[in-house]
Amino acid sequence: MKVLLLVVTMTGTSEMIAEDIVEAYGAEHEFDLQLIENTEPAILSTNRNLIVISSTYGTGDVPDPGQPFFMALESSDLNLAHLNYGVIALGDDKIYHDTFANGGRQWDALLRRRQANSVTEPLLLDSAGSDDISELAVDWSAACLAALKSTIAA
Amino acid sequence: MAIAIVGSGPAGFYMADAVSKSLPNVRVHLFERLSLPFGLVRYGVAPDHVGTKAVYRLFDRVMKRPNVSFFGNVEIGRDVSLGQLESTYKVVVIATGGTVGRLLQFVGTESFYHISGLDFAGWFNGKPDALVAPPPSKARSVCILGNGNVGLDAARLLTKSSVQLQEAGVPEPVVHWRSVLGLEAIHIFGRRGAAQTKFGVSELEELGRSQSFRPVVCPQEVLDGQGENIAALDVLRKFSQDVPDDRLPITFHFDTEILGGGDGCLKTNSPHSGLQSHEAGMLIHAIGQRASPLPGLPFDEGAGFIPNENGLIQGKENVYAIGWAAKAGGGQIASNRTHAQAILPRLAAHLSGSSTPANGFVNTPPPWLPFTAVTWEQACAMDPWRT
Repeated sequence: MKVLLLVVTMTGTSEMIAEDIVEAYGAEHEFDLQLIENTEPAILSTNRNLIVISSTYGTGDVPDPGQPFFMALESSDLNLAHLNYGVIALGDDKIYHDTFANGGRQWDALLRRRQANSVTEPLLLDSAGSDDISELAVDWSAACLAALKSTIAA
Repeated sequence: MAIAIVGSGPAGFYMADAVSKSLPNVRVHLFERLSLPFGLVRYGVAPDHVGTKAVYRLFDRVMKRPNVSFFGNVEIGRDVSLGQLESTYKVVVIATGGTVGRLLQFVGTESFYHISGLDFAGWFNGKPDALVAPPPSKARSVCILGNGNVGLDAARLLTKSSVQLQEAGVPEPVVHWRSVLGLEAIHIFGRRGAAQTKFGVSELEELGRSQSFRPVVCPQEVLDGQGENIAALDVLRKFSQDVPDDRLPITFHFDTEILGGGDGCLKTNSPHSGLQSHEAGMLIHAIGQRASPLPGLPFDEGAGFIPNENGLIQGKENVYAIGWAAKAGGGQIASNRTHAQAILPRLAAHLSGSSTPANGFVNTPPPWLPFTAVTWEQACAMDPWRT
């Protein structure tokens, strides 16, 4: 299965998680890892499976490198009914509790508005927590990839 | 072919990340003045902000690449000269950061115990050389100069209980110092108005959640709604309407001029409060930072950085500066990543044509490496974050 991994990151943590997913499941699936600043919304028209991995910046914002893509998609009339997706949302639940993981949640809401089909609840990852967030992301991705695959079959 | 990166804070590690990933045939040697890696991430980010510190996991990944080596406890000018680095490596990158906290100069400064906000954070993070003099054992009142998040970090750390500090990994002597300090009041002074601060909204709100201290803002000081940081002003306005309780005060003073000091008191003047005198058992300067000069390299004393053109240091052909040392990147951890990626093509031009050595990456240390140098494995073994 071909899967687009869209990485929205400031510190590189989301990119690290994407690389871990590729390493874990690269034998089974064909991943296209893209940094959001190097691509544009048209890429969503030519893909059927998507995982967005996004951090959160400031008070619940989409990180700066993702702003042009986000605004372009928001103001477009793209219909993404062909697109199945999952979202991994990173944040800091200690300092930024009120807006925790809102960057990723904003991607989820926007993709819904563009008629894309969410196959699973977003994974919220707390960088201030004691768990290894990369391990959590790799575990969640197994279920997400299975859901993406079964959605194609259906 | 090999590159030396001097400094293992965010600038150095993001540079090492970019080079080692895109040029897998280039050996990357990362030098650190202290024994433990991560610079600002370890010693500048407040110890209770674990989510921000978690970026070190990314740096750990960089060290897993076969073409990267770390050498701690190696200082330029003490253990190795810049000339030796230049003749050993094809490219040298200076990533030594903004390590010197600025101190405000005024008449009567000898009346106080001074510490920069940067060193204060370093001290609470266990940085070995954070203190230049033993701190006062008693201070009823601490004054903080500067209206940015470094000042808020210092205030917040002072409001923490022993248990909270221990949970954040603050060294036991520091926890003990705080527990017997006898602190009853914190003052935070800004030269500009309440709408012109550099405070973060979340960082202000965090201070408002303290169990033992309460932010105090005079309603008259937050009337003016014109300024560049209205989001923070809104939080300060909320503070100004809070009902007093039995928590101790953290008092904000805006538009304040420091007139001088004497008898352990800071003399101030502001349009709202007029002439005032505040006891200052400790004076924390959180008004910015500068790079430190390195022997053999030019330095702009006024602006506090290494003069460079898009990273290339003045008068050099293969020595670059990045991050705080180059006064680039804007001071955020993540902006070092952007800066490293911007400089990468220039470094790649020097390093092109590299091929993997026939014997693979043995990554031989430089011949002049002192025997006191600390390897990555040794640094990990002595790292309190990993025990």
